[in-house]
Amino acid sequence: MAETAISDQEFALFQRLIHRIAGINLADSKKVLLVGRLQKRLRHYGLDSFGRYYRLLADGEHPEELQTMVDLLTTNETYFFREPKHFDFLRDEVLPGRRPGAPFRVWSAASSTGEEAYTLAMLLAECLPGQPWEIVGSDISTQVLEKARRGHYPIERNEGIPRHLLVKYCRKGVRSQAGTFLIASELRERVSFRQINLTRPIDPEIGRFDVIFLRNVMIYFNPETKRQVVGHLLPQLLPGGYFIIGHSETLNGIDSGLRQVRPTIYRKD
Amino acid sequence: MLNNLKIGTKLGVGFAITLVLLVAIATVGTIRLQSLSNDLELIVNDRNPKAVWANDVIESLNVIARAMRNTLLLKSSAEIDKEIERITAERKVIADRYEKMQATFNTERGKAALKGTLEAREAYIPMLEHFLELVKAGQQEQAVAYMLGDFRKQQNAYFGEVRSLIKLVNDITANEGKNALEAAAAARTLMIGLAVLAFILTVLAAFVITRSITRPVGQVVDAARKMAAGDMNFTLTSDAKDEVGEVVRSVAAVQSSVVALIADANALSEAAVAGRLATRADAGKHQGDYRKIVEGVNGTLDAVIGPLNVAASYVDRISKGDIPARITDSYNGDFNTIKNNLNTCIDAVGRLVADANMLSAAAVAGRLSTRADAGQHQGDFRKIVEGVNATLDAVIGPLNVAANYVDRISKGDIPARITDSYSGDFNTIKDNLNTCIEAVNKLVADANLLSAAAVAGKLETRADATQHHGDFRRIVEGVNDTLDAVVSPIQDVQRVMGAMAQGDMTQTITQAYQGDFAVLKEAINNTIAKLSETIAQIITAADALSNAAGQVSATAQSLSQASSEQAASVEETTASLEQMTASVTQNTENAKVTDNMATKSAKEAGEGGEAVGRTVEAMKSIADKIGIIDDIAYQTNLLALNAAIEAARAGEHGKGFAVVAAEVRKLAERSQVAAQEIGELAGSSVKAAERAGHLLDEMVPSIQKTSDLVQEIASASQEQSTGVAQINNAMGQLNKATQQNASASEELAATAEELGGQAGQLQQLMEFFSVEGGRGAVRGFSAPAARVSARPARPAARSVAALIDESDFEKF
Repeated sequence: MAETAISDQEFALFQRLIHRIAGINLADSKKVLLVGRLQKRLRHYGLDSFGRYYRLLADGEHPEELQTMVDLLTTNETYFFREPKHFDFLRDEVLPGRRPGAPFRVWSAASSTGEEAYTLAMLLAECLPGQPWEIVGSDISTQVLEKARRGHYPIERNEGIPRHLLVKYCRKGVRSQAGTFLIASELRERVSFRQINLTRPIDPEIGRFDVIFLRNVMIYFNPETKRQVVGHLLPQLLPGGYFIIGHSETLNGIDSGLRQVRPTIYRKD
Repeated sequence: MLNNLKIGTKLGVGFAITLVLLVAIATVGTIRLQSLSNDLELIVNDRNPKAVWANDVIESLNVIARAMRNTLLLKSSAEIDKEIERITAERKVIADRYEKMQATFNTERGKAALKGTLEAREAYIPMLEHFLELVKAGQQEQAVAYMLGDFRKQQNAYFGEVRSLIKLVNDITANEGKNALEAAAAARTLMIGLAVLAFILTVLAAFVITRSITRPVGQVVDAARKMAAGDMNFTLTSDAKDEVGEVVRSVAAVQSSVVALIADANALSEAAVAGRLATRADAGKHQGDYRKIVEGVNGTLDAVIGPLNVAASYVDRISKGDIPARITDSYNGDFNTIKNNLNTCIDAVGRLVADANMLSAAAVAGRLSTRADAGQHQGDFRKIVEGVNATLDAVIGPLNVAANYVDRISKGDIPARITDSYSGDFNTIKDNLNTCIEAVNKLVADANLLSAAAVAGKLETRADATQHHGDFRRIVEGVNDTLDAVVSPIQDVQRVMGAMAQGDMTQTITQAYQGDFAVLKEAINNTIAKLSETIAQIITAADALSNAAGQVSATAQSLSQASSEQAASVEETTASLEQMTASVTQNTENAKVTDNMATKSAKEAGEGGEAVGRTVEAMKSIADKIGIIDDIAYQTNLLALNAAIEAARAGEHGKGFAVVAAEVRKLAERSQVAAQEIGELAGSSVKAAERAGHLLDEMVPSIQKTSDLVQEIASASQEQSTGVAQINNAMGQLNKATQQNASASEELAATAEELGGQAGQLQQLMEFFSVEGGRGAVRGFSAPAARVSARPARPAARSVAALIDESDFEKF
């Protein structure tokens, strides 16, 4: 159980690596985090230093290990109906003025384990019954994407889901699945997940969206990376579409060309 | 002025002047003589005695000096005493003179001079007495020395003082004498002057008075002579008020009466010649017989002129446009012919007037196309009507053009200049219209210029007012002035707003403005004040926010660090526990298996004992039965030998059979060997089996015991496994919660850092503003440069989520 220590040089290597791959800005104070999260991989490979683990990552023969490291170093904090004002805004302001006829598309960029995407799905299912809509979730971590696709969560995660939506769109686990719940298949069918690295140009094949949620992601980035990420996402936003960021975030200092409708909610004109 | 006086008065005035001057001469002479007398008296009675007294003093001093010497020369004491008495007598004289002088010297200068002599005398007297004492004591030599020494010095000074007093008195006296002589000379000059003046004025008065009488009399004589000769062409005027003036004016009145009569006669004759038969002389202007003459002439004219005047009046009225009614009175002779012609004329003119009225009414009503019928008129009247028609034609064309132009100008549709040619007044109209068009065009151009400049924000632009005239210039000047009034506040606003755009909130508008500009100024100043206040508050809030965010960030950071550590160790523990659980479970499983096996072993050991017993029995019977196999093998060998012999006899046909027989023989031999070996082995096996039977009988009880113990172990292991599984479960829950916490606190730390960054950004933004009262400290917002590699995205190679059996889910 003894912890392997990490030297400043080794930590700097990992800082650069994770920034290069995922854009994550790992401050010097995150040494403990890195050691805590990667310790088990060292043990897995029987390595005695982070330097050797870094060389293992860098030798190109373990691409799946690189993904594992990204999975481990990304923070996946999310829950159902997080920052509910955005969903109220979506319901009260965006949906009434949506393009008639066309399918309503929402992108939950950096969806983590899928709670945000399924929250959106419940909302759209409620507000647009019998009408076309689609939700795309994306994340850099394949681990969380797998969880997201399953739509299978511990029962205590259902806090925040209004009762009527819980009844309507979730299934409670019993017997072998006791203590968990599952998102109903009719919702899961309409939400697709794919791995997307937001710091790289986006494949336009994903299509354009009426609303993009990019919440509580940019807090892990430095200003330059923020600019890049916003720049990659905007071409996929339809004219008149909304760009929604986390309540603690801002696009100040980023020349996005978006118009602020209210704090954290922007619109493309 | 003289002319307004009667002759008697004039003479009186002349003599009065002469008299006055005589009196003046006498008075001046008297006054001057008196003054001279006074001066003389002063010199004789005052100045002269003072000089005499002073000279007396000198004389006495000289006497004293001589007496002093005498006292020294004389030997007899009687003579010396006589000399001393002389000295005493002279000193009394001196004292007497000083008394008199002190009584009469009353000017400052005089008193000062006298005081000087008195002071000298004061010093002199004791020295004199000292000398006398020396003499009386008979000290001749000391007396001589004293006299020639100190005494003589003082005596000389005394003399000097008295002489200067005398000189002063003499000077004053000489001066006064000179003044008296000058006054006498001045008096003489004045008196001669007055005498000359009196002479001149008297002669002048005599000349003027004489002339004022003789000249008008001469004029009147001349006039009377001319009137007698019928020459009235002269003027005779006088505004004198004297008796001669009256005579002149009377003669002039006679002249004017005659002249008026002549003038009236001339006027009447000239009027008659000129046909002005109504002219009459005004008899009222004349008097007496003159009036009768004039009245007679007037009466003659009236008789002749009556009928002529009627005709003249008609013609006059016609000529003045006042067409009279036809004449219906009866006249005779030539007067009747005149009447008929006049009536014809009245008819023709009436028609002409009717047509003219018709045309003018039509023109007034704007019906410019109306024309008169020229055929109804004859001669020159027809020409007149035709001329008027032609004039109308000529006038209306240009008028319509002018009306059209003015109409367009009034509607703001400025036409192009008129280029057609017109003559005379029409040309003037055309030129005026063109001038008007140009002026309006210039005004419009300048208005456009100004409005375009104003729209473009170029408020400095002004129109050149000097290019316009009259009210147009006032319009342009008014617009320029309006712009001037507007520009200053706008520039002020520009300055303040410009500063505000640069973040400088300290600028305000201080200039005083009126009306709406004042409202604008107030609004802007208030806005800036409010904004400044708000910004100052924001800056304060941003500082506080930044501090708080820093604290939150630090706390979140340590929280996340602790959570990370906790999560890592919990995860480790969970993993270890899982491993432990697995091994415990394995143990339990193994114990179970061991238990089963032990039980089975115990049971089988018992059965083994029995089996071994039966085996021994069986072994024994096997050993017995092996002998039979040996026999069979021997007989088989024999049979095979026989078969080989038989096969050899059979020859070629028995060859194959011989091979089989040989093989059977080999097998029978080997079977025999094996049967013998088995017989041996069976013998030893029986022994071993018997030994095993013994051992087994000994083993069974301990195996039974082992089985019991193993059973207990299995049971305990089961218990342990259940407990560890529960711990493991709990640890799993704990792990999940801890990971969740770590994740949440990580997110919290990131959020807090973002918050700090944004607070710094806010401070940085607010630094842009400068407001009254300074600013808060602003922490910079650092933005580390990001490095982004161009490595292609890694493929997302992961298994599709495992399908979940939904049968284990149900509705909430």
